[in-house]
Amino acid sequence: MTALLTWQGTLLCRHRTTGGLVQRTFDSALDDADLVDIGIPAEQMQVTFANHLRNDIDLSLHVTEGALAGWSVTRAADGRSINLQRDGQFLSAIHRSEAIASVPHTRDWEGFLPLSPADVDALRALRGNEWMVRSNGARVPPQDIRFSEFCDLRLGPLSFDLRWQVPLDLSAWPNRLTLLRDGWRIEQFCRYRPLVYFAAFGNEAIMRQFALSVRSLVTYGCYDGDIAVLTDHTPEEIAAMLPAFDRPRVSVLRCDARDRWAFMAARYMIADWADAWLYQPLLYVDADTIFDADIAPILRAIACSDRMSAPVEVFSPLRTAASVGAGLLQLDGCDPRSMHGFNSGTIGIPNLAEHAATLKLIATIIANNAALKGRDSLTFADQEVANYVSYKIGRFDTSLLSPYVKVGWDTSVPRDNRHGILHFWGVTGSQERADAMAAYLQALEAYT
Amino acid sequence: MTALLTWQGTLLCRRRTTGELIQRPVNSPLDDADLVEIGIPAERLQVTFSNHMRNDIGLSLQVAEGALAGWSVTRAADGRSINLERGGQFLSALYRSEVVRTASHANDWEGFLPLSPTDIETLRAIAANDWVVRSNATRVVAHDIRFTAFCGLKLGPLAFDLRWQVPFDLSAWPNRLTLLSDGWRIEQVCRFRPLVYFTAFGNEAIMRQFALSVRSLVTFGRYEGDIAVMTDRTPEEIAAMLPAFDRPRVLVFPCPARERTGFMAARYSIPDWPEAWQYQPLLYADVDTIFDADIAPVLRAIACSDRISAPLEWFSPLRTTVSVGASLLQRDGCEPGSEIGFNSGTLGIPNLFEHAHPLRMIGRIMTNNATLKAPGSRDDDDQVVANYVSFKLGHFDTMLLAPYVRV
Repeated sequence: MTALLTWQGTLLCRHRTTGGLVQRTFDSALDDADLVDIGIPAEQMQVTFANHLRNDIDLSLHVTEGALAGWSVTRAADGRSINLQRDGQFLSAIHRSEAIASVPHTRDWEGFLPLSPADVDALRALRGNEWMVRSNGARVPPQDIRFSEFCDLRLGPLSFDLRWQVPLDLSAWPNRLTLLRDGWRIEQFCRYRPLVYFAAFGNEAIMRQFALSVRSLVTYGCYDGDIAVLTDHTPEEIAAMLPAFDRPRVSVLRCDARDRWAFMAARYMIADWADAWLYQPLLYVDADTIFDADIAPILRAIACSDRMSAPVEVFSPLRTAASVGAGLLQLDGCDPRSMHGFNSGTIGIPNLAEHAATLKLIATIIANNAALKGRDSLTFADQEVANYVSYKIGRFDTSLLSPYVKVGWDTSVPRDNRHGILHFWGVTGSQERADAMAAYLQALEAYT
Repeated sequence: MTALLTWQGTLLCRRRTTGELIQRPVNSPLDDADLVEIGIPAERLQVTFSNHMRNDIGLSLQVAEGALAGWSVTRAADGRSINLERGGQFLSALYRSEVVRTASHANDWEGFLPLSPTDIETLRAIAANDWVVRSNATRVVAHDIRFTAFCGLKLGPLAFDLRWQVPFDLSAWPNRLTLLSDGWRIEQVCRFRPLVYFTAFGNEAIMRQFALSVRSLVTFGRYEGDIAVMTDRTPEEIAAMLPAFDRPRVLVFPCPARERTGFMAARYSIPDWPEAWQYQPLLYADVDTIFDADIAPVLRAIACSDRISAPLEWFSPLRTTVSVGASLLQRDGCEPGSEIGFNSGTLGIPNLFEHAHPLRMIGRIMTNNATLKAPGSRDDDDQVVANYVSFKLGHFDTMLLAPYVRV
């Protein structure tokens, strides 16, 4: 199946009732027409590196079947599109119309760009998502993505000529896409479909923390994306803890965690939930977290990163602080010198396609360690292993999240210094922590 | 298909002629026996993270069919293997023997580790290849890889207990494998199957350079691996240029490059050659290169790297030197500061699974610029584009090769 893009950014189709050739837009439902298949593999007609090596982009083919049977294919003057010719007439996509005509000359309107099924699918999916421009962090919502004249793909203010993109580079698809402005300027786009997820198990105080955290996320965090919670509670129990407007956005992932060890380790199981692979970025937060400012900048930074991220703990040197894995690092003969560890209560994960293996490695080591030395052998549970794995394979970025995450010690709201994420691990006791979070939230409400 | 590894590192098999249970080495050709299939999916028998979340690794299953029909399956004392019991007797793999019999107790010999077909293929492939230990760049040759007692996997001096590895982390397989010694210490091993490749086109002087370079590679470079050349010459013409003993190692990859631009660009088309994906590392060298010392350290370093490498050209600042892409960088509004460019005449590519993308991106931009560039511009020169792509995508390491390459 090879489809054809017209010069004005529509797809060449065949009307189902009349059989006539027509143009349809990319996001058309195609309920009255079918895509025209030229019947020649796209790779025979698209210009590739092999053409460049041969210094030869010429084409001379004949369509033998389908709606275009009998038409001859030659390379168009732009060096990328094709012209379709029969009896001295060239197929032509009429400007600002859905009509297809034939004319005795070849100019712009007579150029058609061959697209493979993968190209067509990707271009359609592009419009079904929001994207981020990696070079400047700008958001491009779906309504700002358009196909226009001269095979143009517009993503917000940026414009790309599709003739210099196909076959599309889908090596990191569907999370990343590299496009070339002017045929060579590299721009990377990162899909933006965020998920914030929690792990909340056990007693009422923890669940109260979770409910407060979600409330702060959607109000002061200005978050309108999906939320998930790994929990031992039922969906009904979780729903009862949340305001009605939050409920449809919260996915409940049942998890048979038995004890504190399992509660702490559950965050690394997110890759086992198949739907989680559809998101970019993913942000894990402990339930004892209050969001006190718009988290969009945090999520955009994570989406555009190549590494997982966690906030640095400036008071926890990897060399000596057991809480960040110093014991494991020493036992393994590592020398982290002056490096600092991170707190695993906030983890930014760009996407699971690239990072699930690291999460799984952390989980495996946590599980092996528990089996060999006992479930209580690591006082600081997952955080020790996560820091060890990060040190050994260099995967966590500790600078990206740090400006946004602060430890919550008291309940006073800073006048003009809210960072985004306040982690209340500094308050001792689950109930006391929930109380502190509630008080902070109350102060925040009073303040604003 | 779930097979069973005995405690002494053999596979539980059934002799084809007598039907008796026996042990066979993991890399045995199995010409007189078949692997015993327990008939229960490995994922039900192996311990996963979910088991730990539930704090429950208990097992109580019954084998319903096959060579082990009628045996009961329970979790062994090590928390990872299984015991097979019938009528108060436990299946037991005898030490330093190929015999399998029954015993009235369950100790070490009575433990069997369930392996999926993927696990078995992985173990066989581990034993069939050379590897480099990433933490110290030591090479482990295939004949130093053994399966030993207590489900041991020995890679040279390193020992791993397979009970703490399965199911394997195959996220970077077959090029990289992460193993855990003592159940938690991370060791990464990188497959070592090197390819040195050249591009040689056109006139006789170029082909003479190629022949001299190959000669130096196998003599002073002490290189024993495969060599490839992308060329417009026939295999017979290439063979005629090389000493007889080099010929079988030189793979000829016909490439239809037409002129100088194509000759220079050909190195980036290596991902289009399917066989190239089997190698790690790949080293590209221009034909005007002489190897004057053992290149094994270079190859080991490339194999263990996460990035493509090329030697720094200290006299070519990215900000001002056109030959390393200054013009493209300036026009794209990039600010390379004091960064220095690289020479693309030597490229270290860890493997193509991870690194075909930037090579293809370089090829794409060269192709586009060849059509779009202004007359006289160097926007489609390979080194110009490679430096631009490296700056934008941050993929090339300019320090790794630099100590080994001189003008």
